Amino acid sequence: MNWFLIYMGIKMVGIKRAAILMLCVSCAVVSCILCVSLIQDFRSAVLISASGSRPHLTITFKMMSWSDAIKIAGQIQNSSHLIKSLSPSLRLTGKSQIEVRNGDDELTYDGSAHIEVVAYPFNPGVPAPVELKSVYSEGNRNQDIGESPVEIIEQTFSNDNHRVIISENFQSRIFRRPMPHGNAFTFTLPKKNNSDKEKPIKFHARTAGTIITSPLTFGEDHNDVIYVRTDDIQRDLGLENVCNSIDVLLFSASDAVKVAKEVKSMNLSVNSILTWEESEKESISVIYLLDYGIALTALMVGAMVTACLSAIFYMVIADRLRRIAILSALGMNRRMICYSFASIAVGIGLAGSILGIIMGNIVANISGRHIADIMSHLYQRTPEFIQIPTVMYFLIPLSITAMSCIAMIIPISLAVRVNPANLLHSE
Amino acid sequence: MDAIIKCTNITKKYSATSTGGFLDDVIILNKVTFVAERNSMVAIIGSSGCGKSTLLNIIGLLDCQTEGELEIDGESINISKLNQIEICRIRNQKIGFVFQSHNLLPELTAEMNIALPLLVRGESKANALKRARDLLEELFTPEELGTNIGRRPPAKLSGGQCQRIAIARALVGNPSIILADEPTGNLDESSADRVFSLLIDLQQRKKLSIVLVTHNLLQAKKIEKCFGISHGVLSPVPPKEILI
Repeated sequence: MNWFLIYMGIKMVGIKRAAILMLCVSCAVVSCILCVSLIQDFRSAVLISASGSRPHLTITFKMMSWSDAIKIAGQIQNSSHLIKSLSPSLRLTGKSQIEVRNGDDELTYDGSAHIEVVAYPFNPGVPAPVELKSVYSEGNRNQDIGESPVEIIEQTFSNDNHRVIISENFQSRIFRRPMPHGNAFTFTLPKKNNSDKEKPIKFHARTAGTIITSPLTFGEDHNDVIYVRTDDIQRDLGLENVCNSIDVLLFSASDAVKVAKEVKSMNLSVNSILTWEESEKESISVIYLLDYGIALTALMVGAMVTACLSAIFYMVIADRLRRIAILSALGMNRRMICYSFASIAVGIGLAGSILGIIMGNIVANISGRHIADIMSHLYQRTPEFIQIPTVMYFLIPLSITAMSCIAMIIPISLAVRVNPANLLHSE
Repeated sequence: MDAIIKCTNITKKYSATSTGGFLDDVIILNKVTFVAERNSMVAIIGSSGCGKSTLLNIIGLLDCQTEGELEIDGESINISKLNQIEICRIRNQKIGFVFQSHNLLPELTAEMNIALPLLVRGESKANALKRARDLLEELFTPEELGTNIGRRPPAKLSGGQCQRIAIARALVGNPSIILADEPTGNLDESSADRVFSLLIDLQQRKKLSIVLVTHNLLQAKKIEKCFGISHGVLSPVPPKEILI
């Protein structure tokens, strides 16, 4: 390390400019950390919220007795340390398997109604939210949907029904009760016009692994409470002591593939192994879209920072052309001049990165929660704190330092090629 | 006599392409042949734009001649064939520059500016600064030294002081030749006289080889060997024939 050249670099760039450049670099690091933390923590939090379940594998078998399922679950549990817990279950999916009865009398909705749905998910202990997906308005397909009491964001037509998807946050909220097994969802429909009296409404909600579809009936000034319990359904169907699947709860989503491989290698008579991502494709694809958005933002931030750094470095070099010519006249060769400036760029990159990491963590943890609030508006879930993978603590500073070094080396390598005689003659 | 600089048929030409094709070829120096003897002072005079500084730049390896041969301190130098590192080494070790504008680095103190060629050469900071302080003591009066001149940046020095610092910087590396391009051009009369006297004195005391480009005919008259450039052609001018 040539201290004289580093000293000259500091003198040439100047402390104030170096500080400005360092701040620029640290801003870049802050934005990178924000993006990474969003991708890492919010992604997993939003995935969990969106899918209504924690990272898991769903292993399906032929129908078997509960005691057999317990034995197999034990074998699987012993095969990998990546498994958090297992729960044999009867997996019932699809609308036809779930029936919600709410009395024989069909009531007509003609006033505001307060409806509460309490859903108990398949996986005990997994606090899955209930999520209102849509409201079906059956009857005349040609009816004017604009008169619907709920805000319509999409409508689709099929042979037997007319589906109206309403905004989820329309006079509705999802809240978490301190309940042992599930969560509740409530929504309120405002008073309708008299002309809508005869129209029955179905609602379509979703909870962990279960689609709840109900022909809702509304009574005059009546508040309906509908309970959906999977064990009730099992009992109704006469399937109390049988299982057809084992839900393997994992510590992280990334372990799913490894555990799936291990289970496959056990030669159990498995029908299928669905990873969390496979079983929750629909929800996850939305999150991936979100990821791409964030990644694109990060890329744009990176490009802008590179452009800014290059511009500032270019200005610094342009301002120092005469000094570079003097140094050249005194015998400093191109390599020495480049080393001198590049070492400062490295220093700025490293110091800016360290500052950026500290600031980034603070900013991400403070503002991240607000971002989380916006993002999880639909899911009502905010991560406890923001963390980025350890490797990123090295990767981000290294890439930013390399970026600042390149941004410095390009103009300086051009500057040292200018004939010093021309530069010294210019004034 | 031993030649410190030997220029043979040096031609410097700016081609039409380098001027964007708007002008014809411009010949700045036309087959200039010139010898500067070791331990002597040579003056080059001429009107503005006649090519004095260009010749000095070529001798100082800051610029490249179009044709001709250059020899410095017995070493034949072809700038187009030497690599940049080698050119810089020769500049650092064999040539000392004094420019019209002092060209000191404003970010450094006076003594660091003086020490710069030695530091570039790779000498230790302590040695370089010691040599710089020795030169400061040689070139400045005790009164001036009492104002802590060495620790001050060029912005806090007068023009004459800056130019003396520049001379010290040119001397610090014990170069074979000192090239001074109108060193008093930016100074008032008394400062100019002082700087010029210092150069004469140093040359005589230290037996330096100096090539001085100047506009000042009074100064040129005091130098034993003088050349004039006109229309790119260099010719000797006896001091007695210089008309003021």
